[in-house]
Amino acid sequence: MTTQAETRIKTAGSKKSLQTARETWLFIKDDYINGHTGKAQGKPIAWSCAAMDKELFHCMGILPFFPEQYAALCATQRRGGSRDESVEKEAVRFARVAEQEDYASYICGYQRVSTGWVIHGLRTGEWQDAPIGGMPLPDMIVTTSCVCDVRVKWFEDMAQRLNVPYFCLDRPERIFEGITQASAREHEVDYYVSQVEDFLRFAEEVTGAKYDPARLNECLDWSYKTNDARQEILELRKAVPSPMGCADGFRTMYPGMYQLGTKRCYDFYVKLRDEVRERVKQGIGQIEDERFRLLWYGLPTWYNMSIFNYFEKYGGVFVYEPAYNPWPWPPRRREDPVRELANRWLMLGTGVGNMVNSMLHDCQQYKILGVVLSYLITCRPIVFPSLEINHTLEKSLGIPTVTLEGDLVDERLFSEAQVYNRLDAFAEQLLQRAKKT
Amino acid sequence: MTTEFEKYVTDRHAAVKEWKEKTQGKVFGYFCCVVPDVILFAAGVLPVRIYGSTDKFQKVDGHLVPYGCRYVGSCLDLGARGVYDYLDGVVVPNTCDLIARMEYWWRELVPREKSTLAGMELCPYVVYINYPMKTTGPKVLDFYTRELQYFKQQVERGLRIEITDEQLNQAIAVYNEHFDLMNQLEELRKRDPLPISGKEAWEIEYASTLMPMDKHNELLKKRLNEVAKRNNTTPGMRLYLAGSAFDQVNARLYEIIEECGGQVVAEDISCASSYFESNIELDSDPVRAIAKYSLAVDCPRSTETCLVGCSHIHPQNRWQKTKQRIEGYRVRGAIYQIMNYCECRAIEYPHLRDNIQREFNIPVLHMEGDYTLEGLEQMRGSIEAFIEMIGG
Repeated sequence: MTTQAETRIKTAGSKKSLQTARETWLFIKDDYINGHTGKAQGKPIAWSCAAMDKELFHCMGILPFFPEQYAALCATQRRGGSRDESVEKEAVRFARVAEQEDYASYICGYQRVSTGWVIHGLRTGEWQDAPIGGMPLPDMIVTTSCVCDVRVKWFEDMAQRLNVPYFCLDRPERIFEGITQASAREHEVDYYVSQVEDFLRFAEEVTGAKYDPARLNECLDWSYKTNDARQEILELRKAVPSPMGCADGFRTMYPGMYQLGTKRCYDFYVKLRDEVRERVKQGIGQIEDERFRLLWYGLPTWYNMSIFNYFEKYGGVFVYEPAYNPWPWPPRRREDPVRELANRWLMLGTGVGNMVNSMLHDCQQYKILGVVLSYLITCRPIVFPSLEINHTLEKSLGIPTVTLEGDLVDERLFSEAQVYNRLDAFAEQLLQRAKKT
Repeated sequence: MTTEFEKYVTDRHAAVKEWKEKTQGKVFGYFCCVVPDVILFAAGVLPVRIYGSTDKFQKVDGHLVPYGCRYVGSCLDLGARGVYDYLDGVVVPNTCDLIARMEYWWRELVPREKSTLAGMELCPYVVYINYPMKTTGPKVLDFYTRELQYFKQQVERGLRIEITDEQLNQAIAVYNEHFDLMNQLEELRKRDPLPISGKEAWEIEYASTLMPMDKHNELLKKRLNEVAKRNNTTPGMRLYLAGSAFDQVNARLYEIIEECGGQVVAEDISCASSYFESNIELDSDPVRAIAKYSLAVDCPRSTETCLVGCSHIHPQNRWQKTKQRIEGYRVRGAIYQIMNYCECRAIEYPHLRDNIQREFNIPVLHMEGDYTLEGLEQMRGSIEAFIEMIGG
């Protein structure tokens, strides 16, 4: 893999269409302020990951922080808040620290950045020498087995370095062809239930707090209502012209991904939904003259969110991104909230066929003309199905795709000139197609 | 004279086809050492581990991205080219992000005649095993026992047979004998002077993943007697070798190490017999006993349940196993050959390296592999320098 060490990416933030999207940063800042204050007051801090059931933290008064989200944040900022483009991004600085410690450059950027920050902090004691003052240090590290292998090994490694208790919530990895599957096998559900129960015992031991099913039910009520609001937003996003694009989609995923199970998360999405609803009602799109619609497959290039506005000069808009979005859950089950969590998660599968079918479905639902495959060379679960998706979309729906190579947070792996050349050619292709359809 | 072991090492496909022709038996391929091949053996099926080759990819380039393990890609390419046409089934565990996805690609790309009724395959060609990522803790054994029962049922349905407890227990006895014999081989490798080279020990182990285990046991007993009596010793700097997928391609590294003046005496190479530390404990439920054994297999991907309030607050499993593998072998250096994109091994490497250096006070050499002979050859200089440095 070639690392473009000397390339400085002239990245810019995305142009956000929605007012609520602009408020996400305040939401994040509040969480970090509360986390540092909470830590000083002795509240328990957990480091965890996207696919963990966040309600389990909230119901026990644990403040969760997410190294992957922190790595993404590091990808947007330069040291000391500098805007000087000759200063490398903080993500690059920390990734270098990890690489100097012999972590391979092909490992997930989230891992290299957050581990690099941990190594830097342990060596220097200067944990705050990082964007937004760093994450509060953890009392426990909690991961899940789903999504990728890296999350397990990376969190193990951080727990070993920081010498804090570690828990992995093992979720059976289901493989099936459909997009979701309502009925998991009984022993899979039983196993996942036992994993959650084991986590609750673990959290009680670490924090001294007692698990209360009534409190979990409260959190799940907020989650359920939030999920409804988010699904409504996804429905509204099918409208033509597109009321909300991928830049706003990715920017507004934070509350739902990381603070699910709280009232403020719910309030955020209600406000977002109302804003999107109003735009649909008034026929306001992302741009005035929408000529073609795009889907972004994979995770974003966090250091360069302006890419989501790139096609606007051609009349193209990114309308949908499958990552981070909710799915319809089974009905609430207040008599057994833990089993409800198990049933909810086990609806999902991870096979290649599952991903391909999901893309076919989404492209039709969102009236997509072209797909950008974010070819994250350091995120294998995302990149593995990309060629299959490419073939199938072309063959089944005649939808062309273009691939963009890069990392989630390490801009050294992103070749700006190559990427934009490719996007220009793709735009021409899509304009031709748009004329025919 | 070509020995029976060498026959499997030099041309595994021909050797397995010959077995199939002679016995008219079924052959199942499998990925990874956690697969319960003993259940297949109990069913009268020959389980063979799927390996790759140095051939250029011919069929899978349009399907697999270049940013994944080339070893797995090579296995699939051989499958897609029909080289594994003698397999009656394939077992895919979810032991890494790419291997788990072989469930799809092997089904989609490997040519075969498919017989269906009501849209269902009569004999499932690809069987997926949901191996837990966490191998200790509450309910893990219950869950995995159920997974293996389901696996056994799929094999039974597919082959229209019943695998009885008696057959399972007989197969377990054969496998336990194999583990005992391999342990005897390990004891011989602790000797100094060394009676057997690393390459020869690897060949023995490799053959065990390709031939019927009872036959392998017979041959191994004879070989052990012969090795124990050897007077000619095998010189070389005693080394520990760790890395991914040491099939006949990566095993070239054993030869290069020997040519550079080293000898591998212990290893962690993701091969079946690297994991014979524990036997399958006989139980009233043989499937549960097999599940218990399989969960004890040391895989770089696996993690464990940790206990709060004691020293074991984060996973120790990989380091403890590494330590066990090095202790007693008078190792003077460790070589890690981690294949590109093998992330589990790549992430754990700095931690293991530091512990090895601290605990054993030996140097560690890290090299990135690409599953090519050229890539291995390029390691020669580093290995020579490493051995020279240890020798002083």
